[in-house]
Amino acid sequence: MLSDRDRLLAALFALQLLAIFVFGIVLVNGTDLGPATSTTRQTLLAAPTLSAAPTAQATGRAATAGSQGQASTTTVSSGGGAVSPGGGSGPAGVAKGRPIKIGAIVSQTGAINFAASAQGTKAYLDLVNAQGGVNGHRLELDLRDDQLDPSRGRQQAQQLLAEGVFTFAAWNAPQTEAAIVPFLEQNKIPLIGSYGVGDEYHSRWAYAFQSHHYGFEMGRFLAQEGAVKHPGVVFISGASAKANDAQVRAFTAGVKAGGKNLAPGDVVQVDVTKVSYDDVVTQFRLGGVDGIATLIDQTAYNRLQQSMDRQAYHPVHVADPLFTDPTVTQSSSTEGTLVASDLMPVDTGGPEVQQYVSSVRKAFGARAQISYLGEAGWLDAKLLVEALRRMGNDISRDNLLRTMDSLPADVGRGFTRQLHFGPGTDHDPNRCLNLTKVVHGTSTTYKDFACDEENFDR
Amino acid sequence: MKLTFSLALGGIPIGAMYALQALGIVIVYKTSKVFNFASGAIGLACAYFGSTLHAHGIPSLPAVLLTIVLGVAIGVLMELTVRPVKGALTGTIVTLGWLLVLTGGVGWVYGTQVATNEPVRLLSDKQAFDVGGVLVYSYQQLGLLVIAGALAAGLALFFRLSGLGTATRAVSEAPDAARLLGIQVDRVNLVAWGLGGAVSGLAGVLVAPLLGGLNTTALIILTVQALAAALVGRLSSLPMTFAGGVVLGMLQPVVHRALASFSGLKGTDELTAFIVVLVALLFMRRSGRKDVVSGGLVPVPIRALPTGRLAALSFAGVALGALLLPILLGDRGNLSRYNLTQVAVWGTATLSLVLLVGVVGQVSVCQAVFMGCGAYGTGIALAHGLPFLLAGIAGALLAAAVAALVGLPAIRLEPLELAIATLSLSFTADRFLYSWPPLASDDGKREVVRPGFAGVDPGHVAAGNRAYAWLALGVFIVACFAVASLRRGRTGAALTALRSSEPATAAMGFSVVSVKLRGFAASGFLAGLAGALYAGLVQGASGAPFDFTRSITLLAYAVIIGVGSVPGAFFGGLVLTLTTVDFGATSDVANGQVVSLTTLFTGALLIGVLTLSPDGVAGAVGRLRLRRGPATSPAEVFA
Repeated sequence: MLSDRDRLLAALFALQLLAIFVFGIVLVNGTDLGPATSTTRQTLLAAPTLSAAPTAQATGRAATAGSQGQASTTTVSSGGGAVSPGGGSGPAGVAKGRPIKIGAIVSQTGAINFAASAQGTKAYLDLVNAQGGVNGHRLELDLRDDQLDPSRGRQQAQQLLAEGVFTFAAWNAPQTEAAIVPFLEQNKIPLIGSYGVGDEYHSRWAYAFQSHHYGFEMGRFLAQEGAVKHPGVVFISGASAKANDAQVRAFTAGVKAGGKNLAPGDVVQVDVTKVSYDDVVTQFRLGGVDGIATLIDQTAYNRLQQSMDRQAYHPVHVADPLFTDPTVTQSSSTEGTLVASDLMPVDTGGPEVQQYVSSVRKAFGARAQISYLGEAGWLDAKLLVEALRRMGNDISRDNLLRTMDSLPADVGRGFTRQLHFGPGTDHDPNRCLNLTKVVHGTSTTYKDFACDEENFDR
Repeated sequence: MKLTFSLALGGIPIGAMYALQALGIVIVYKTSKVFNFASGAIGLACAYFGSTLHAHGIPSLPAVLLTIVLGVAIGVLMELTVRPVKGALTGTIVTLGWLLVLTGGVGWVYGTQVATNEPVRLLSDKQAFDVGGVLVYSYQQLGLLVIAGALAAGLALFFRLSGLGTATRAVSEAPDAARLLGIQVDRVNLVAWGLGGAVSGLAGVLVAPLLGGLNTTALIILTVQALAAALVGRLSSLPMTFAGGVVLGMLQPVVHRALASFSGLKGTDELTAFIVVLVALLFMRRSGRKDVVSGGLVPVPIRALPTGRLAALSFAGVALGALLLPILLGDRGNLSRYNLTQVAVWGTATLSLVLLVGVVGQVSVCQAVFMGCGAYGTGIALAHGLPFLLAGIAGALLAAAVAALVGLPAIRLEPLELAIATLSLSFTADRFLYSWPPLASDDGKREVVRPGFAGVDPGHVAAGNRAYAWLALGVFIVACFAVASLRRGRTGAALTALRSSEPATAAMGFSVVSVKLRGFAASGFLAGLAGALYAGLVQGASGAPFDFTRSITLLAYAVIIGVGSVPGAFFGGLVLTLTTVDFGATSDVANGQVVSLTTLFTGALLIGVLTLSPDGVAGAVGRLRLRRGPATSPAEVFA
């Protein structure tokens, strides 16, 4: 049995251990005894809402593609802030000749992943660095994988900020992004290029270059096909009923713009984990639907195509760009499928797109994932670099926003038709989709880009 | 009507998928009374193995036969790890460990991308026949239907007519008596697990081609749906299991059409399966005494609060640490206030399981759902103008109410059945509840802003990281004291009695129903508080942090630490927080191998701990101290 004296000594020893632990932390992290009301500390936790699942418009682009690649070259940073102290508080800038640190969060593991996007971003920044960087600045990419976990993603955003990234860019992290806009606004840090989740299209701090509402152009393309008398739509719905309704409105308006009508019962919303599309196909087939527009993910396309083959149901089909993902099985029954995309397809893209293809292949070899998502990651980096080039020596966040807002509409040439930039909070830059046709398993030119100006969020 | 009829008939092959998965579960359960949650994962491993064989040019039929051999091998290995643990429920949690090991292993070997490996196919997926457009099946679907039906009928006959079948029934009903009769119980169990593994493996290989390629998530989700089919068969009748699967497959598209078309509800398939699970559980024939310990985990009993100078100093140390750490920690790096707050949040969540499993003796695989209710409830209360603290309590009360509702069926259910029902609820919450507009709003999210304590000093008191860390730590510490104090008084006596025996509890004058419901409500309240604190931490409520995998990992870590250990809850919180942090400055372009290895390691740890120390690390430490210290029971040493 321990005596009282022994117990007292034990307690003192425990307190000593605690003190060592605490002061060890102080040494590691630095003391922070200031008031808890500074902008940084308040806002580090001051991000609001999170979303449960990829949103409706996004699931059309949601990827399970990804890569198994490890970079053959690297631009990842080794620490050291490139931005003036204070993380995201106030107008941060980068001194001349110092590296520009870029923070990217990309969901690269989990049920869906976007590693192809990370490859595209990394390959582009490697290319720029190999050519000497931007205005004397080397670009350092700090790339994180949130594993589709918003808690992890929030910490990563916080850490990136604390470690002095100049800007966030090329994100593809739907769960983390669902809550990120207030975080960006309160920390005054831009996000250049993202997956595109709800609020990001209405914040002056966020720039999502992918089209917000695919539905309008897809619906119009479908209705304009002469053979279609009775159109139908199937899309993967998200957690936001409001966003789902907006997508339905976009489809309905698009079909109407093409001269046809879409009955409410002919719009089917499905879950991302739907095991079989047999029931959807049965409904369309028995309902006489002869043309469908689909906004779903890659594995869903494989299941949908299986169901269509089983029931020998082959209507006119307008699909989203994930239909051409390498993981979607192409066969004789997919021939003639029309693919609507806000980016030029890899198969038909010009020299700019082919540069993306060759660079990623060179960087990642056999592990390279060439896809629409990779193109998106590449374009995000390209547009950021374009803005940095135009900023000259004034590498500050305010100037980055000003420069982004003044980018010319053709800055995405080779990848997309035109981007609508401008000051304000209505950031919905990409409203144009083109249409290609699958012939012998590859995309061929079918219809040029068409654009709309309507905002279906309202 | 034609459409409804056609939708129902079209669902039959999907139902056959459920049934085939469920058959593997029922075969194992019939003998060992262990519910094999890893059934889908066995199918997953076999399907990937089949794809490798196929890629190496091995014809389909030999490849399928070889994958079945792998299924047998995995089943046998599982039995060997389940054998040393006592109690069906503990064995069932070992299978949760195997679920993690197998999914992690597959991710490590094959990567985490889907549809990059071509599954082996026995039959063509082209159209087999079309009866007036109403009944349209492919050869693959027909084959699956026939194989599932034949297996259900054939195995039922086998179990009824063969000597092994008789032995299986004897082992299932009375293993000790069977042993006395000369039946080699272990060998019978081994055969049953091997057979179950074979059927699960075959199910994976046959089902994978119908899921649009090899897809880990889809195969695991299919298993959760298969629970309903297994329960319709009362976990014993193979033909009824087949029928249950088919009926569920027929119901889902019809219900989806009826509900989703009108209201845009999501997750109707999961909701249908959950209702089938509930109905099946409530109508299951009751048998045997409802002794919660017989199949349960081995908890470390909660010891009464220590007293004396050492205790006072310990409490002072804890209080000092809780006061100092939020001041001394910064907002940068992994050692940050954010993570400190996370430790308190996940610690409180783990504590809610300590209360439910360790004290009340019930098992929940839906604790994250209670957290989700707490988070959303807080958001709703804030939207109605309540200050943050009151809103958090309102959220926790909502979670307590939901927990009490979940506890209602528990009155009739064995712990294992409850585990199945709660897992099904977790899955349904993911797909249905978290996107249900009254809870999640039209935006699918709820803002949770921290304006201060009870409206005082808005914007400052709890809005800062430091103050919020104090709040979360304070809640955690108070919750620890509350749970540790449960032994005192009448409630503690009732809970202690309930954990030992329901009849004994009733004989002592307590209402079993009331005690159980109070236990569930209290546990739900704690989990709801944790959810509210988490929502406040990230200033928003959504379903993603509280998905069904979170419920599984919460239970897994609670078991690893020791389900009855109050101090263990702190370590549970610490470990759960560690799973969310990055080590190292950056990550590179990933392929999921690190995550897969972590999953594999967690599963292996769970299996190892349960095999070597069924009462977790806390129990092992307790026994270690017992050897050195005075002669007290291990249960009382570490609490």
